[in-house]
Amino acid sequence: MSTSSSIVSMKKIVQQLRLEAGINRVKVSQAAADLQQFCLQNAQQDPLLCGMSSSNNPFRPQKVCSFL
Amino acid sequence: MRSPLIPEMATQEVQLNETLVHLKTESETLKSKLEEERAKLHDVELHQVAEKVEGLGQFVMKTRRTLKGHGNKVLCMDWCKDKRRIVSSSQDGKVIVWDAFTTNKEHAVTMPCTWVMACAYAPSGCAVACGGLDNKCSVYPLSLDKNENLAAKKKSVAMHTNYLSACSFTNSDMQILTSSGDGTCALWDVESGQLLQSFHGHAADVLCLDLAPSETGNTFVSGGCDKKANVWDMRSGQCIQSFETHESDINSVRYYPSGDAFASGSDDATCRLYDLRADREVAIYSKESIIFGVSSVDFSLSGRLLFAGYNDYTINVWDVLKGTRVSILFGHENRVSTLRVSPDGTAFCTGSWDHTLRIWA
Repeated sequence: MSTSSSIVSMKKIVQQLRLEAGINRVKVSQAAADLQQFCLQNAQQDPLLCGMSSSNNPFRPQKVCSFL
Repeated sequence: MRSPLIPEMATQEVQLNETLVHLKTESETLKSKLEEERAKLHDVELHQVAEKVEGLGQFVMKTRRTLKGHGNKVLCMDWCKDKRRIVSSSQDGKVIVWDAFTTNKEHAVTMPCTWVMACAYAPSGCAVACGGLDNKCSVYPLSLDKNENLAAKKKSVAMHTNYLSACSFTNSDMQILTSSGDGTCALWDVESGQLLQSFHGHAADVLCLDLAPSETGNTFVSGGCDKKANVWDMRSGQCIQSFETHESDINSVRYYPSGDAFASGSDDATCRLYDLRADREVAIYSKESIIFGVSSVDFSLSGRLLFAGYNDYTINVWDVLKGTRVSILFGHENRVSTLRVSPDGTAFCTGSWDHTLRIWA
């Protein structure tokens, strides 16, 4: 690759890095707390987490009634 | 006597070289600065924050339906918004639409190529998109008339210069996002086939993509053979964040339901969680005993569980907060190649190289 085209690609790389270096970040403790809160708030509405009863989950087999 | 290099050209060449060296130095400095900034905020691990959260009990998840009909490896699948229909695509060149409740096949299309690596259901439920080795993404409207030849109404939308690895409709049937072995992602208008935006930045094949949940705005994440996961602004085409901690190809990326994070699965046998606001990896899901690559990942509705399909034929279920594995599921007789949780979170579907799809609940 010629020097001038190397320069063009390096300029793009530097520009991208400047952009990425400049973004605002929060602490992991804050981000983690928010992820956790979202999980806990929505836990009850999560069928695979809570396990739905057979009658509500269309994929689980329906209990068969039998006449005694 | 040899003619000497013209003096001006020589000086110019020297100057160009100097500029190049300066740019390389600046690039190294910026990379170090990025590392530093990210490290400063790394005050704790996710699993430490989650120590006080109640642990998860035993999970009973079984295969509830098996969808048989493909003649070769299943490569991709997607759920319809109606929570019961599924589209799947295979190495056999066929794209099949199933009713997952009854396991009936509702439509089948034969593509002109084998290895249909990508397929997606339109939000309306009235069309499906697919593509693969043909380097294209085509849209097929689904007819209510079972006898109608779907292939006749096919619309070619996307054109790449290498294989299509993934595709997804955006919020409507009108736009499709694609990723390709040519190293780019692209946004297309379905009606006109026009390229609306292209996304350049990966240094090798892009293997997967996922759109941010609609509440969080116009971004998407992509993963590739360059081991990078990139987050993109759909309007500007700009890469806004980039993550490079995996040690091999990233086969699957999926947003956390809140949109603040995303998970990835890689040939390095790990899944990882990246938080977008902390701008770093915050969890790794791995075990010494797990040595085969991850092909696909998806979250349960609350984001607490991460389901991952592996090349060793199993599915591992991870506690996202605590970083531990809560379950391992057996059933497929070859690699799990694709995995998606249903829109209402009641089940998840897997596709495999064993030619079948399974619904688990």
